[in-house]
Amino acid sequence: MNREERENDVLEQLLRESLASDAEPAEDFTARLMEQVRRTPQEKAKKQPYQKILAALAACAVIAAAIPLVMPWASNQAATSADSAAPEMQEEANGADTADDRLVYSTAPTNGGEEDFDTAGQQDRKQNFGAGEAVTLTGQEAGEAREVLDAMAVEPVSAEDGSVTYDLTREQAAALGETVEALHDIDGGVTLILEVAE
Amino acid sequence: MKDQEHIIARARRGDADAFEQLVAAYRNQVFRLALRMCGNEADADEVAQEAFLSAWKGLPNFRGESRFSTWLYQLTTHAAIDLMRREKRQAAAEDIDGITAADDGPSPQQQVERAETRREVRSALMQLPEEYRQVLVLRFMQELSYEEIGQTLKLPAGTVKSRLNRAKAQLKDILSRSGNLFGAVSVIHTEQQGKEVQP
Repeated sequence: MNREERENDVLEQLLRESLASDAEPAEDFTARLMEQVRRTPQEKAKKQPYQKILAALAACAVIAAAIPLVMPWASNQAATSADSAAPEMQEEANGADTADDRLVYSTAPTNGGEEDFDTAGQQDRKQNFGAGEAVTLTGQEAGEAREVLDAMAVEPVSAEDGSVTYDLTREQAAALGETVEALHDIDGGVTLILEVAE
Repeated sequence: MKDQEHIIARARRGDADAFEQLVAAYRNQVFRLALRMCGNEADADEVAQEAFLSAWKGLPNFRGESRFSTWLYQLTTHAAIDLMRREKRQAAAEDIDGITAADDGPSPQQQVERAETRREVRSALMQLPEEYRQVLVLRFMQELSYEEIGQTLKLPAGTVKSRLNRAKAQLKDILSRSGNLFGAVSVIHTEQQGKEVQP
């Protein structure tokens, strides 16, 4: 052991001896302390990180469960839009074959394309809904229908401002349906309105 | 040990009687640590009271990641540092003697010399910067490991080790300048030789 190591050992030993103490606090130390302790509330236990994560997850679950209760429209919106989109697409696919529903059919060219066509059809369907037997044809198909009806010697019940109205019997409607696509599936008598440009 | 864990658990739940048992078990150690940090009994009393009160308040958040005693020494050290800074004063150089030598120890003359040396060491300790005194007291009085001192002072263990070395070097320098280190070496050397000769 060299001198430096020996000095170091001596120093550590001296430190231990010098720092050692048999001193004691005053006799009333504990009594004074406990008086303060009994008056002092303890801190609340802080949550551990894992407890915070669990609490956050639980809060998310509660919010997710509460959304349908608080805002039913919010949760139904997605389902409704998905549900409503399907029949419309199906309807478009069916096209003119669904003539029972589509009481108005137009072959006249429109500026708005399919969107305008659908919109007009929906509006007319609303107007005719419940009447059941009113069909309006326009454009080329209205002209074809008029030729057929003329050939069948069916007379209009009224004609004014380019709009000609026929009351067709079940047989007349069925006969016309063989030529005019829009009336293929008509089953029964109809009131046919032809909008033909003069 | 199990008993103490049970007492700590009760104290954590707000049982003041259980806490009083912990005070009874640790009050001397806490007071002595405070005494070495502050250098006088009045401040040591205040620091010890503050440390125990902090322990009571903070017990619900004591997770047992360190020993209860280490945590208590940590609170004591912080209370001492706070007191010194609050009062803006240096540790008092008032000397409180250590343990008296046993009757079957060295000769009366050696005892006197040794007591004088201890007094010089304590005086030198009080001349050290606060951060050096802290590590020396925690290491050589409380016998804490580097890791435990690191936990107490919120320092990496490596920093504790290097700070201890610098503290010892500075203490040695102070003692060397006053001639006490070499005197102490000779006293201890003589004592050790005496013990070896004795049957």
